[in-house]
Amino acid sequence: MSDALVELDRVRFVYPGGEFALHLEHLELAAGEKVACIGPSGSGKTTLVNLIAGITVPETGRVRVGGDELTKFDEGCRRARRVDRVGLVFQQLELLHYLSALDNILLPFRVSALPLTAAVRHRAHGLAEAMGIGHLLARPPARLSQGERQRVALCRALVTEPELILADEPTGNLDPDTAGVILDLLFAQVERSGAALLMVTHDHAILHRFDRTIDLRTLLERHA
Amino acid sequence: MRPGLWYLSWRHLRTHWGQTLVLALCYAVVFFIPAASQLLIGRYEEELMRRAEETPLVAGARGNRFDLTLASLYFRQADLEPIPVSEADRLQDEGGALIIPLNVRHTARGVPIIATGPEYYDWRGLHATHGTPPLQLGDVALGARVAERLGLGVGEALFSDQPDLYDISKPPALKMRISGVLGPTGAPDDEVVFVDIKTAWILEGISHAHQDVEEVDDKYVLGRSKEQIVVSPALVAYHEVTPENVATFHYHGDRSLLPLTAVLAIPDSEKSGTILKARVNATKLYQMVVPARVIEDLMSIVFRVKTLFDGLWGVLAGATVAMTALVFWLSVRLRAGEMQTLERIGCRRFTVTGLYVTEFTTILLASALLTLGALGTVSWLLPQWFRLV
Repeated sequence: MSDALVELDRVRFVYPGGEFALHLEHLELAAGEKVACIGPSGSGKTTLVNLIAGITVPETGRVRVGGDELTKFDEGCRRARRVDRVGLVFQQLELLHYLSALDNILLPFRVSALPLTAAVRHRAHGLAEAMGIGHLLARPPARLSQGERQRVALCRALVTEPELILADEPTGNLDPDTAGVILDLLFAQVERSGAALLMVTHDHAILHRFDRTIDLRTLLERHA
Repeated sequence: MRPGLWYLSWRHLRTHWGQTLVLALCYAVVFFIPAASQLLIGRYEEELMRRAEETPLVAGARGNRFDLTLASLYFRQADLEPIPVSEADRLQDEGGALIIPLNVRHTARGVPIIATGPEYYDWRGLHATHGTPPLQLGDVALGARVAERLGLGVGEALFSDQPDLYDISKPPALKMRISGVLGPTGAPDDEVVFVDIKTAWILEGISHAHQDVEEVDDKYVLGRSKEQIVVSPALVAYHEVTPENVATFHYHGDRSLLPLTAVLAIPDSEKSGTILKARVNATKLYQMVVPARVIEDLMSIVFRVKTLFDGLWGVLAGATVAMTALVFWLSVRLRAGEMQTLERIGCRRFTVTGLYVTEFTTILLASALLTLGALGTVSWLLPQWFRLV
């Protein structure tokens, strides 16, 4: 058995009723490793993120994360594991409009069995300060800029101290300057926490900042 | 249910307060209508029945038994055929029951004037907190709430309402001296004024007093013989009973025909009551009813009407449920992205459902609180707004 944090082995996934099929022979991510995932649109990058997060399960093959084989878990266990041990950042920010920035950061604790302690609140404030949004925590998302909202989303992904962060084009909607700031903050926090990072991106200019790059064009076998 | 869910629900409902308020109000109305009607009818029935059960028998002219009962127990004004005082005397002579005459045909400043005998006060347990019950002709005792509402007290005067201002053949308003104020009882007796039965006949215009015909100016004398003196109607009768003129009040004609509205009968025993009732009802001219049975019949009509309203409430409730279903269906569609976010973060499916359940529960709780508040207010204000019976 490998000591990789994430291990996908002979994975096959097909969307119900769809033509797209993903075949992945083998993929590993080590703990603390920062990996970029590139590939053209429709190559299966988001599908790969969803498989590793346990949002979807493959038809065949094995997905192991942190020693747990997700394919053997039921839906409820995968969800419980995800909220506890995986931080997710999406291109669409998906902040809840009726919550303040702070409540959005603390959302994983509101909707799960994770205890919302004073230490957690302190951690949330610390993350927000580090991201430069400490003074904006009372504001709802509608009163934040796009860059500020993405920082809130990053804080939400990091506040549970996950061992794995999956980011699906987190800077896709941002202008280059803001995107650069967000990436700096993400990398700083990932390095501080020691979590592994798998980030889907189209921006080849930032690939040098990752330990490794997965190009789905070469890794995947696509079937029409 | 997780506390976090309650928090999220609260934040969502607070953000969409307009929608929340509309839904809560709709449900509050749905809850309030049957609860309020039940409360009102329940209290109405309770108060009606309490009074009815305290009054064993009521006699009156043949006619509508509901009108007779409502007039003699709850002092509702009704156009009842009178029962002569001779009938009350006959019942009294038969024995076996306490007989109390009632006349409920006049008002003073809109308040019913109840003319009765002194035994009524003892039987109903009415005591004067100030002054005395009406002991003399022209005296009036005020019910507790009337005294409060009119701001009148012992020694002051109360005028009866003139039946017709423009008909000089009708008796004029009578100035009555307030002899006492009765203590509160929580019964219809608080809402009326009491006079002696003979005062009612002055109000009827049957009994009157005027200047001694031997002393009147000749211009008022239409004819004079050894037996009688005929005076003009222009000779104005006294409109106040005073110590000086009290002895001059009189009526012309047969005393036994003086009118009463009803006669209350409190028999010594069930047997006496049965005999009394049978004798009165055998006359074919008068009737004697058991108020409790009459009120039961009346309430059965009320409950039949309530059943109709309950049916309408069912339609209203159905419409509200359909509206809620629509609102929640639209809400589920509008919030699909939000729910997807929660699921992707790792929120359990039960938690997502629970979020809707807690919101719905919160709305129901809010509407229940609104309903309880409204019911409490209605329950508190009802006796102040209007008397039930």
